[in-house]
Amino acid sequence: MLKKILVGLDGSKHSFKALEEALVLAVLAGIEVHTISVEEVPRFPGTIGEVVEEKEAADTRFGTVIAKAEKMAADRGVQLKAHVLVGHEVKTIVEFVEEKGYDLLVVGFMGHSAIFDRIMGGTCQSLVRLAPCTVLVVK
Amino acid sequence: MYKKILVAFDGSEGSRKALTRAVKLARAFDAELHSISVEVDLPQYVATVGEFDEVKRQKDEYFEGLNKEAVDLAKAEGVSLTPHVVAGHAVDSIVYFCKQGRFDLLVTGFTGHSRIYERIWGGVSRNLARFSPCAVLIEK
Repeated sequence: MLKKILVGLDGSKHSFKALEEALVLAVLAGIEVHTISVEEVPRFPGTIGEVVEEKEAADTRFGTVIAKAEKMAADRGVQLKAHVLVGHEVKTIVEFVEEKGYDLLVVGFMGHSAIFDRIMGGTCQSLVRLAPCTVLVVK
Repeated sequence: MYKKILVAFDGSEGSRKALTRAVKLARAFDAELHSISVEVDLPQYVATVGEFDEVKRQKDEYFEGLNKEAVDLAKAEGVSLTPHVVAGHAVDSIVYFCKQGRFDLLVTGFTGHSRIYERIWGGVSRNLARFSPCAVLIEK
């Protein structure tokens, strides 16, 4: 039924919950799980050093996150492949799904207020709308 | 992981895809499967009671057909499905039903609308993703 699963992993509690559910689905389907973490680098930096510094911080942060994810996968006996990309969260994930042909995207849900959602839209809501594949929103 | 699955089924193409997915998941997890259809446009202003009854009867016939279709589709895969029909607002009714029945997965289809439409009205699947008490799978 499922062939390729991608999990949006930003290191938040919700994203680890999403990973947990994805791992269970992967065990059932007998497939591997891919995760995607997106780094947002400063758009208006004063110096190039600022970008480099920000990127280094993100790399270290995602390093810890991915290590934890790999351990969770190993505990369940699932192969995990982690991807780290740079760009806008929604745009990068949607393009990555299109390019690699995933058939399920699993994301965590983080609630905002009605007003915030109406104006900004949540990351997860934008993904639900724009992703080319089936989306599982984990709460 | 999933013990009770609810699938939103209104007879649209998207909801048929959702139903197929829900049946497969229910089988894989050996979960209880329920479907929900919401009667959304019962007349709110009628001249006579007869008028309301007539519309209601027509709708009921339509939903009986839907229920049968859902039950048969599930049965073909060896899954038993319990259909429900409720009257009300689509998102509201489904979220309420989901909470009451303590479901742990809601499966729904997806219909894309324009950005403007969604900003004002919000899509049903999008609002379900937001307000549902449990995990939501939006089938595309």
